[in-house]
Amino acid sequence: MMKKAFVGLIALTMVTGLFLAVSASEAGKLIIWADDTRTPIFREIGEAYTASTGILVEVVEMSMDDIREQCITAAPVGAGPDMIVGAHDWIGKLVVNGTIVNLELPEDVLAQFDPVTLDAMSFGGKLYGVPYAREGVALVYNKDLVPVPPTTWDELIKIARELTDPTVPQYGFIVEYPFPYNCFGILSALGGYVFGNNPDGSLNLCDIGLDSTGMILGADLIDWLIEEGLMPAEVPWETMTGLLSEGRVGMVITGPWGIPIAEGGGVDVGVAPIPLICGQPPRPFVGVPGVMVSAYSPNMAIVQDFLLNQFITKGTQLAMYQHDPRIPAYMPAYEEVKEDPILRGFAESIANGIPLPNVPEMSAVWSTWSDAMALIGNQQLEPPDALQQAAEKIRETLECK
Amino acid sequence: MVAYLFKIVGLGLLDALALAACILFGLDANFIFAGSVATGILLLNWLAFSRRSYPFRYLVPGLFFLAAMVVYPIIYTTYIALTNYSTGHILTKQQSIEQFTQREYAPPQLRHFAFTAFLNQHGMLTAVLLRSKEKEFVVFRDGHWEPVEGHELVDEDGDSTVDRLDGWTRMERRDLGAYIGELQTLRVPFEDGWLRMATLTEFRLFLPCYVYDPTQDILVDQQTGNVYRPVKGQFTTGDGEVLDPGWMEYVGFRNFIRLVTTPRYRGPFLRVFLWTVEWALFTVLVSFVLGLALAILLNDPKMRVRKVYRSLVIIPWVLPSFISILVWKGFFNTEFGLFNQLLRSWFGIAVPWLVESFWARFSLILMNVWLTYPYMMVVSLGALQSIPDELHEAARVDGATPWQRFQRITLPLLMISIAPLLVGSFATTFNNFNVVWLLTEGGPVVRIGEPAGATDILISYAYKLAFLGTRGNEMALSSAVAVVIFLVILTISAVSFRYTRVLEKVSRGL
Repeated sequence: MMKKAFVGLIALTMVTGLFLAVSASEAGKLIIWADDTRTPIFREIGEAYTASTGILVEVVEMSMDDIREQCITAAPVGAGPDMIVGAHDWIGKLVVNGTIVNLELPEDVLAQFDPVTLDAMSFGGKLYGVPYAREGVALVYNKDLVPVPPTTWDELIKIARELTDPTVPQYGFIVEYPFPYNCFGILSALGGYVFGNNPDGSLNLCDIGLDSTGMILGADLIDWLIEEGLMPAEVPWETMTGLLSEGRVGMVITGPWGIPIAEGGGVDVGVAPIPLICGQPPRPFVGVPGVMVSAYSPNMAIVQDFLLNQFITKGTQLAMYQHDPRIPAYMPAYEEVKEDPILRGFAESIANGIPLPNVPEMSAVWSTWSDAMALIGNQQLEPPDALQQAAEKIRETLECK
Repeated sequence: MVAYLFKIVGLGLLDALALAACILFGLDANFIFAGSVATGILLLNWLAFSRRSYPFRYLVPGLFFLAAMVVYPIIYTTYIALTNYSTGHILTKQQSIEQFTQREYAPPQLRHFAFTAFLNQHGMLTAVLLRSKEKEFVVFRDGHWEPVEGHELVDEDGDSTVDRLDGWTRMERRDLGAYIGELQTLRVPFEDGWLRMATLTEFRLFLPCYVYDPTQDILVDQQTGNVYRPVKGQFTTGDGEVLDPGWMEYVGFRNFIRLVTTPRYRGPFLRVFLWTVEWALFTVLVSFVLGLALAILLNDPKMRVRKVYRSLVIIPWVLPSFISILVWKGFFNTEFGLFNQLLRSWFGIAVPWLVESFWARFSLILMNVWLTYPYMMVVSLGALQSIPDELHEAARVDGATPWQRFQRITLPLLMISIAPLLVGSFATTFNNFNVVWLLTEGGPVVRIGEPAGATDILISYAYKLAFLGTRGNEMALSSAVAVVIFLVILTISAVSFRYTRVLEKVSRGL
């Protein structure tokens, strides 16, 4: 009784705004929460669905963080949506909070998706979302400064040496740093990983690979680049995008989200895979956006029908691509658009990618790992020491002994 | 008369709203809310009509907001600090059990039933005819079902679909949108499980994944036979396998004990606390000294175009700090920042502004002084103007030097009105999350994996514990930190107000 009142209060305080603006999920009508970039296309999809079935679809626009956090608190008190549009690395948190439900889709439908995207959307061996794209970082280069993208690190270093001149200022090679997401390709090429796998393919949370030889070797390369002055060590996102769109940087490692910003500054960019390291391909993180279903939805039959007959169709998936060009996860749609040069660059880059771990334990990894990369960046610690300390801390935090 | 009418109508509307809220809460079995709304509205009516309550009319709004904005959050935070509220433990036990008992699986041999819905003459959904190869039966709205024998089925046009059932007409497929809400909520107990609408064209048989036994408080997995018992807010098997989601429960002082005993949390706590005090103290002192100096300068009638200067120095206060802080952050960047570019071209040196602990703290205080001194200047200006000129004149006649006059007259009189503001400013800076977070996010790193960086203040440390925790969000643990912060600030404020009361006595003595 007390608890119920308190849960009510939490809901009241945290979703007061929502209560006013959003109708709670109700039987017979679909409510989808999406962010500002995806709301328009989901409204179109919803209208098409209403036209063919007579079932209303309401799409509510929210920020990405709100979608996840509000759904966790609002859904249990019946104020949540039926579906959310989110990223696969939310899944762990949403599943352990009991917010989303696992999906049963027919085998022949699943077979049409890129298997990596289905892996990413799975947690504990069950599927929790319908992927619609896969994305990750690649080498994005300014065609005016770098006419031909490097295919080896020797070439990349040579170009970087020629271009870098902080007095102009002009830089050859920049990566958002120390947050390790963007440079993970370098760290993973020689075998670095975050969590190892159990024999059944799920993540082994006690096999932490931050201090694996491969990752240390990758970090050595980064350390060397920083020492040589070929890669700045304190680069927030705003700085990276600022320099990129002003045409002051030759090459960056970024994802498709960086392209509109570069093009907005009038810079002609090309996309290429990150060069091989000692013949080994970098394996950047793959992120998979998709649609997840609330465990509290009273509309499971409609949801199933919407997903199978409206959402997972070539037409819808192509429309999603036209609206926001990301590599489609749905292979029939991918086949149609794979000739686009920018999309192909990203697709080649993440072909060897590793899905970003979707377990809630990642939040412990991110902060500790960033700490280690920061200390490597400002030359306070050597890569082996920093990464070993980070790995030890994470083992301790996750109680792996 | 009009005013009285206005009052009656307004109060009537409020009463009606409150009554509606009470009924809604009551229906939801939420008696605490219903009770508090009822008490609140009765109190309001008493205040409005009783003569004796007249003085309270001026106190009650303040008391109400005190309760709503100060007392309630403190009680609530303390309550959370005594639970295990965190990622994986946000539901009530009841909700968690409901989730498990509603989880279902379709048996390997799918059992599906085509459905036809029937409406009565008012267009209301009355029954659904379910048909599979081996079975055919009629389901009613309350979920019970009967064999099709004994019901009258009519196929009017001979297309082998039933058009009428006991005189009810068939729902056309195009009307599905209007009835689907009701159809979906039908759950028909059938064999060991239930039938429900699985797609827009058929019902399917589902079996429960788990069954809960309330007498023993255990959950049994129907497919594997595993038995789960509640352990630490989660259903757990004998060999430690747990089920998500768990639930929130009372854990006593466990979070406080964790805070004190875990090296990971305990280690930085003292350091963070000391730095928080330093940060608040330095910011308030330096900005007060700077603000006061500027105020005295700009209060001097001999100064020309004072108004222009006053407007100029107030700029940091007027700019939205969210923007100015980000600009500062850009200035401080070691590689690309303005400061280092200037230093490099002038002296050939680079300062690790936000990269090294000392410089990060220095930068943070520098920037916050820049943000706060206009406020100090404005309040000092006001206070300066309230000091009677006669006192200064008298002192001058007695031959006091300007310094003596400042020390003996200006400062003590100034402190009477400013000291409480300084205490307030101290408390605000103590908890100024935005400034710290926007400039350094608590960094740079002190020790790898330690939850607090060099510039983390208690509140940003609590935030990091809550949202960048070990496994998602640790709301309960960070509430424990918040309670500790509250106690610290309470003590500091109590002591300082006692001290300012001494100052007030001085002023009364004058």
